[in-house]
Amino acid sequence: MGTATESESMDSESTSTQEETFTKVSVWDLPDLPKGKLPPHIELQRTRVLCGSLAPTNTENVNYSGAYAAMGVDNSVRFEQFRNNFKVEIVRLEEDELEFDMVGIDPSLANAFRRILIAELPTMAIEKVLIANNTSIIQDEVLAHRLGLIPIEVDPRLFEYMSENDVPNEKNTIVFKLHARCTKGSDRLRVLSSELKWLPNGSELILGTEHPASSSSAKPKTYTSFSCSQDTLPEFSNDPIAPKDADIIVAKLGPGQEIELEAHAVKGMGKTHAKWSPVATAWYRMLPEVVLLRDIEDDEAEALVKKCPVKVFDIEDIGKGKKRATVAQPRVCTLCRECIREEGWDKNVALRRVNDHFIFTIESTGALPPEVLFTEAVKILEEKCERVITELS
Amino acid sequence: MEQCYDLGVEDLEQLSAAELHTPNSYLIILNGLILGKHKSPQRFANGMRKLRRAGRIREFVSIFVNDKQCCVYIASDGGRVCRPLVIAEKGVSRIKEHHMNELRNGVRDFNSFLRDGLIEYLDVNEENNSLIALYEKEATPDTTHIEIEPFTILGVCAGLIPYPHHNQSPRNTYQCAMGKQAMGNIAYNQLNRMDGLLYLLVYPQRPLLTTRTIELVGYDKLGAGQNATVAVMSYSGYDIEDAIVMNKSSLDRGFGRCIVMKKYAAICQKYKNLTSDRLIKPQRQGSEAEKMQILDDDGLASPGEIIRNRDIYINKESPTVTITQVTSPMGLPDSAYKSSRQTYKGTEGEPTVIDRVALHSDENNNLSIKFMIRQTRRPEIGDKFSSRHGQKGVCGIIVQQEDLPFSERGICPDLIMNPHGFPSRMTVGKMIELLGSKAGVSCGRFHYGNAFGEPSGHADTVDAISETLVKHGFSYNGKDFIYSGITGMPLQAYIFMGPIYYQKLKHMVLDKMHARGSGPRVMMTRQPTEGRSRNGGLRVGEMERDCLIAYGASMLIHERLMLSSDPFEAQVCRKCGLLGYYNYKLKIGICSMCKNGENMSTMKLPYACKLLFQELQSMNIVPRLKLTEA
Repeated sequence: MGTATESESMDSESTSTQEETFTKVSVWDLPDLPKGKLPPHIELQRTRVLCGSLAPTNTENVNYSGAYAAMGVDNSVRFEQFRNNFKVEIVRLEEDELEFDMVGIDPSLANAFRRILIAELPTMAIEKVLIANNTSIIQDEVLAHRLGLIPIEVDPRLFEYMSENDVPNEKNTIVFKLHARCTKGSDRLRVLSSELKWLPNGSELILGTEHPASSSSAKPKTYTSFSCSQDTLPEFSNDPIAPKDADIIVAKLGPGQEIELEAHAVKGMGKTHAKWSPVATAWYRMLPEVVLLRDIEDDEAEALVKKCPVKVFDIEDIGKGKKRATVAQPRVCTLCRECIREEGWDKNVALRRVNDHFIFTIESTGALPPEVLFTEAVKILEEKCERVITELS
Repeated sequence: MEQCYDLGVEDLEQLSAAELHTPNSYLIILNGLILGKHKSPQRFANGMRKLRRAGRIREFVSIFVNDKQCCVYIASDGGRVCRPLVIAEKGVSRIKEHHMNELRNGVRDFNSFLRDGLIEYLDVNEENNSLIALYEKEATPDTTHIEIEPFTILGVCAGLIPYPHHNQSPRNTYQCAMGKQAMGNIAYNQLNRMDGLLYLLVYPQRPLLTTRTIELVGYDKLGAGQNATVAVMSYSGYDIEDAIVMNKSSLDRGFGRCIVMKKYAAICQKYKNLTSDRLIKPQRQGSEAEKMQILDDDGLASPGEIIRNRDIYINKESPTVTITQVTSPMGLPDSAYKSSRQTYKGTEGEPTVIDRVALHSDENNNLSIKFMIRQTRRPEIGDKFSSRHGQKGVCGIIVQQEDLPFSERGICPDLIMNPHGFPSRMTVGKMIELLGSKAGVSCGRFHYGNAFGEPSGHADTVDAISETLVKHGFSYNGKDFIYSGITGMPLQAYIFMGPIYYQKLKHMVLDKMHARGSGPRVMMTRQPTEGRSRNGGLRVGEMERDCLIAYGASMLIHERLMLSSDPFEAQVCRKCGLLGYYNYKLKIGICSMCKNGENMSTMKLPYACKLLFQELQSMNIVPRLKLTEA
């Protein structure tokens, strides 16, 4: 891409469209451009995705450093330049949701953050369920699966991964107990996630192989071997561990039914199972740019405003009873392409995306606040880069 | 019959041969028996129909005039499908506005419409005598009947299809067959029944795009599928030939999860000599203890236990003597019993759990014990799925969520379907279903897709759906701007994406996959057994053999057809050409015809071949082998 002949031919093409004249212009007659700057139409190709009415075009961005060498423009990424241009701006920060703008970064990097958020940030989730009694109609496996998907509000950084031959201890396991019973003669009972009670001292169920008589004096062996209670640890002493949402229905019990179980939560990553993903979803969209290619006035303007379901356009008075359409808030554009649906309107309105400006949204499940999740994701990417560098050197 | 004669049917017995063959008189046939003849069949049929509408004969009696055969068929027997239709006179419906008002006020019901001769039942034959208009406004003076509602033309299976009138007709036919294989809920008492084989869906949903039939048959209460967000695009090449790409995170969250239950039964038989089988306590120590882990003290597997291959699920013993009389039938010593315990033969993989144990007595008053065994399965590569438009496909690959494309609103598809499924199948209904469901989720109203429903308002039109989509910021054509999950850049096309109701069909790889190295053989031919249940071999059939012959791969044929199947070393007599036997004492082959072992040679041939020779010999045909030096 970007050889001398190609760019020159593009030159002539664009001039003809821009000036709406179809007279042939020699390449040599074109106006000179200041050095170090791309002609506007190539600059457009470099920085924008064009969203036509049939398909988006120009979706690939130009990575090659020498792509515009023929025009004397250096396309390489300079650290200085990146540092000056890169910008993060928080738009909206709620308890579980974060929307921010990330400007001046390559899509591959923005995507890397998204991927890490979904798949590689660890959280704690229930992995093992020891069922002592379950007389409800919900099957053991299904119950365990439902419990696994309940988000737990605990900082996973305080825990370690449990590998295959590890014994569950206070550093890698959180134990919950659930005991619900619907008494005979009463109404149907909903078992909510709030019934999951944290057991800071580990499991209370005695291991099956243990003989009760053999070690009456010593503490009987259970399914976990905690050396100390988790609530003596400073992190949890005044902040008991519990599910993030208290109103998730785990099961429904009919009269006389009972569920008694113990759930062991361990640390894991979203790529092994979605229950460990710390985000409901994380995604970005490129900043919409809506450009009116010509002045749209009066009735046409009214029609245009009416067309857009999300009110991208507005009308301004230009005096003499004339009205003109303006682009009021391009950011809300959902790309329904309603404004360019009608024949010929794609000559009036251009829908574009800025390919280095990302509107990033993180919906946290609640284990960590979304802003922490993002910084963690950055750390993980950093770690990965370092690993590559050390491997290479 | 009497009424027929009253209407002018002339009894057959009183007719002469000439009268019988007069050209313009019709035979009157009641349930295949000739009643007599009638001169003006149309008047007779109209009279009979009037009688039926008046309630003088039953509503399911059909009167059918067959002009070709010069017959009037009256049928009152069972087994004919009848459909109710509104009667029209000169193209005007008999049902008037005041009837409908009465219906609304609860004064009328269906039976009163029938009684008053406003509605009547037609069977397939009588339908051929009538001109049925779909809608009242389409009725012409010739119209005899008007449909109550066009979608009632279709039954339950076809009624579940949204927009079937936009599909190519074979697709609807396929779906009618496939809908029955879909997993879901079967009944409200499904967990109390002891079905032989039961496939249930863990999280069934009601379709986002419903039809009136769905509501009428209760499919929205006992669904058999899930609404999956489908992106119609190509992805990864593992989606060719109708295969679908699935999102791993969706599967993790319970999409397509199903429960398979299977019944195992055992009977505690009582015998003629008053002895009976008995259940005994399992051994808790010793060599057998491991296989009896899941047994309760009563010798039956306990519910909730995980059952593994070769586990015993019922520890039963049968008396050795069951026919001749014994002295004390109930107090037999332990030695008089032999073990007849039953072991579970399952495969490794998904854990299997005892779901329920039921005890009851059967028709011979024996104690019958039934075990329901349960497996919960998540979808895997090779499981079969289908939409409601006869578009089945197997899961070709399961992809991590982060690799899948995502939309402007962060929506990730649960399932990716290859667009090549559309042009040749012409299932436009599926596309409309996608649009309608998408509009449905955005505006919060279930959309309808009844058959022929657009004019009557029972189906949402594409225009209306598009309008809703636009109102909620989607493109009118349902195509979204999508980013690639791998590169992070936008895709070069807008992708048709939205929810489609998908059914999981009961054909799963876990039940079908099969391979074998060495294994059991059939006794007679010594060839490998056939079929998965017998751990059989995979056959190189005639056509495969043809290919190998054409290719000239003689060694491969030799290896497949003999060495890997039924090689046999035979002793052949060079003199008489018959098969001999090998004498292990003398360590030589002996020909039983020549009574000596002088001219014996050994050769390899398929055992089936040797069997053939011997069978031929048994019918007095002597096959002789002429051996030459190789």
